[in-house]
Amino acid sequence: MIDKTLSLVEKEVSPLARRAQALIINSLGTMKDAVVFLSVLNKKLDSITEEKERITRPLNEALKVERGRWKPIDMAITSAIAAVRTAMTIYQTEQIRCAKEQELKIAARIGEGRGYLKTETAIKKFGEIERVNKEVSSDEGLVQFRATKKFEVMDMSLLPQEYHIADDVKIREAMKNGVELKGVRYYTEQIVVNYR
Amino acid sequence: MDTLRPLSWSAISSFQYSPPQWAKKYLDGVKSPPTPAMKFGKEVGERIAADVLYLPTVPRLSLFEYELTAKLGERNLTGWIDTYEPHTALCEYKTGKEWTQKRADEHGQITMYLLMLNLMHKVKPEDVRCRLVWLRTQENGDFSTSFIKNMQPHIFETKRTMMDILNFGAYIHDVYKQMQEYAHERGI
Repeated sequence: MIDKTLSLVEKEVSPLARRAQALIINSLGTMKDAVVFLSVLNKKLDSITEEKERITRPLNEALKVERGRWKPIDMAITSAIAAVRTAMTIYQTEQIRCAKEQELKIAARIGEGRGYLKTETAIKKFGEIERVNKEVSSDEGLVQFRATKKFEVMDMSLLPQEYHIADDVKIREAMKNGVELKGVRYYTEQIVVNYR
Repeated sequence: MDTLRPLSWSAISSFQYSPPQWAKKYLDGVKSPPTPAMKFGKEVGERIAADVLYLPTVPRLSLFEYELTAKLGERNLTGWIDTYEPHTALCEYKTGKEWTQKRADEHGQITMYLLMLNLMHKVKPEDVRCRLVWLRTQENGDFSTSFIKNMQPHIFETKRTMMDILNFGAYIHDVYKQMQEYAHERGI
């Protein structure tokens, strides 16, 4: 039944949408045609939205209620998981950093003569460094650690221009407050408001 | 397990890939016949060394099949560098389907050779220019291997540090221990 209604609406709207897509506005006459198209299409969209919401509104309401019912416990578990994951990452990263630091110290001592280490001795010392496992397992499950390269911007002035992203929200805010910024073009566009 | 038998890169990689396969070859002495791809790779290496007109754009250094023998603790290590310029450069020739910069950078064979050069001659890995030359091949579906059409050598420049070779040395100790345990489990 719903599919039948859908196909009827589609049959009605498709030719209209095709003609609207092809419309070129170059005179008052064609502008008036555009107003007709816009109003008819918006009315269609309004009725579709109304029909759609007749079904989705109660569903969304039920969804909202169910989500709300579970939200406190969901949040508590999610937050606990995040805390455990963070603690694991901090510990593992720190242990690996410590091992690396020891490796560097040993490698720096390679050489000949007193106070220096032979390659073989250094290798032996490398083998003695306490290292964390990449995988930790328990009866409940296991965890594997994967080294992931990350970044943090430390000095924007050193970062090449192509990697900067303009903050549109702040720029708009400044514009509303009458502040115009260098490097920004300010212009006016006629936005359509359709009354039907 | 015979501790006097020198440990090679192929033994290490074979053990890492499959301990039973390693045991069959290195403990039981059962040699599998070389595959067509292996035969082709060997022939290519030999021809590069013997004929300067063959694949002329492939880098050649002053020594070919340079033998390395080093001792790491009680372990004897062995290897052959495809082509070598004493203390300054080495090249490994590879046939096969897929080599990438990442794979070349992580290839243990080059790290092992640099470790051995350091143990033998105190050569610093940072001082050696390392190249892995990939000569792309294809299997023809008739039990033969050949170069792909219009094959051009692909040269991967790769580096190793002192830290890399020390870590590799520690890794060799670990692998050797695992090999001994495995051999012990099999009653050898």
